[in-house]
Amino acid sequence: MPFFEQLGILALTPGMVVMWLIGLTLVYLAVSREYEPLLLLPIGFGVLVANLPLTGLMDPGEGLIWRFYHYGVEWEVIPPLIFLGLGAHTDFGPLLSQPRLIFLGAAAQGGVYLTFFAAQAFGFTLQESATIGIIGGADGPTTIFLAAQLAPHLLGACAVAAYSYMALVPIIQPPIMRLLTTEQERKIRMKKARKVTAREKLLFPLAATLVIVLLVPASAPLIAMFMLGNLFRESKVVDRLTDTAQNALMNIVTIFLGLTVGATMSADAFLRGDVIFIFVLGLVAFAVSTACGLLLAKLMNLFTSDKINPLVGAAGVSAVPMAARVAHKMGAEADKKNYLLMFAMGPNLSGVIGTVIAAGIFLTMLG
Amino acid sequence: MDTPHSIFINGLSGVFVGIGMLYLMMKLLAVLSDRWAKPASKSESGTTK
Repeated sequence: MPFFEQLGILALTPGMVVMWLIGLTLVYLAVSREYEPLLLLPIGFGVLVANLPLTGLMDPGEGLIWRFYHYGVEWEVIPPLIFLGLGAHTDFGPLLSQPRLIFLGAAAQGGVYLTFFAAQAFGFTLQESATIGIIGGADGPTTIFLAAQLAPHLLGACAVAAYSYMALVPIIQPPIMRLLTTEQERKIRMKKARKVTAREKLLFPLAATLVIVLLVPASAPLIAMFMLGNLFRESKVVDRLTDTAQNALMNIVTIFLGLTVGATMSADAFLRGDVIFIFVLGLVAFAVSTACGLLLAKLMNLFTSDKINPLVGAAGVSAVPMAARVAHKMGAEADKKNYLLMFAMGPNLSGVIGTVIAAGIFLTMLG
Repeated sequence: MDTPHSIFINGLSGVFVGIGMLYLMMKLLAVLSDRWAKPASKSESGTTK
């Protein structure tokens, strides 16, 4: 075939050009605004190259990025490895010192299930609805893990929605938090938490793995790796492994995750009416999750003398540690001496666990 | 076949059961931790004397 008939430019479609603009927008947001740059930069570039004509990068069985996608995401390798790194970064001390705050992370999953319900009412299948709903958990790897198994055609849109909303936590959450709390509630100072021993921290990942996996076996890939990473950290005897999980390994898998997620966003898969619904419903999920965590904190305050600042309930969406920082900032705006960060980290971490449990339940019932 | 209602109810209650079990486990760890700490502090004070 003559060379000039193989020119990529001849196969260019308007949809591809639109996707370039979307890819470049993501690159711009990552570089100029620093919105989740570690993910949005490779995702944006992935969108760009996947929409270059005749490259074959995503051709099943042949394309380079397809291989990354197939063995990394479809085979459920990359999201659990990200969780290994997250576990190695996580200090469960704030959660262990105030166990009651764990329920705020469970309440925040209300947005996941309410949006699941709304999405299927809009005509999405149950599998698609579950994938859209999990965006409300504000947990990128869990969203990708679930989407790859239940609705691979929605993976790109759901992942970008999840990471975008995580980056926009400081913009999305504060109006909801102001709307649902009074000035007095935002000023509540929480009592100093008890000290957590090193032995408790060491036993937690072991016990939590047993408890969660015995209840929801489908959550094992994520929970097991999350807790293994945490065990590395808390054992204090495998510093090299902890360091690798936290840094080198995490960085490597992040590159492949971002690139492959971006590359799933081809023009024909992404430029559809239902993608707009996904973004809208994802935002609803995120907002409702924020409200549910916050409202449970207010409900708990009715039954306890040791009051909880309801702002920490909003951190029950995962988005670690951004959501906890937002709760702290809002508390400090009401009372400069109110230091909520460590209290908000508890619901923030339980939100991660809650979202993984929710994903495991979806997989059990719909997988 | 699971209906949306059953997934909604099972899902949300499943999350609360899972988190509730973790809560109990954390309380147990706290109690055990206190017990382990007490004998240790007793022996420490004994050594001092």
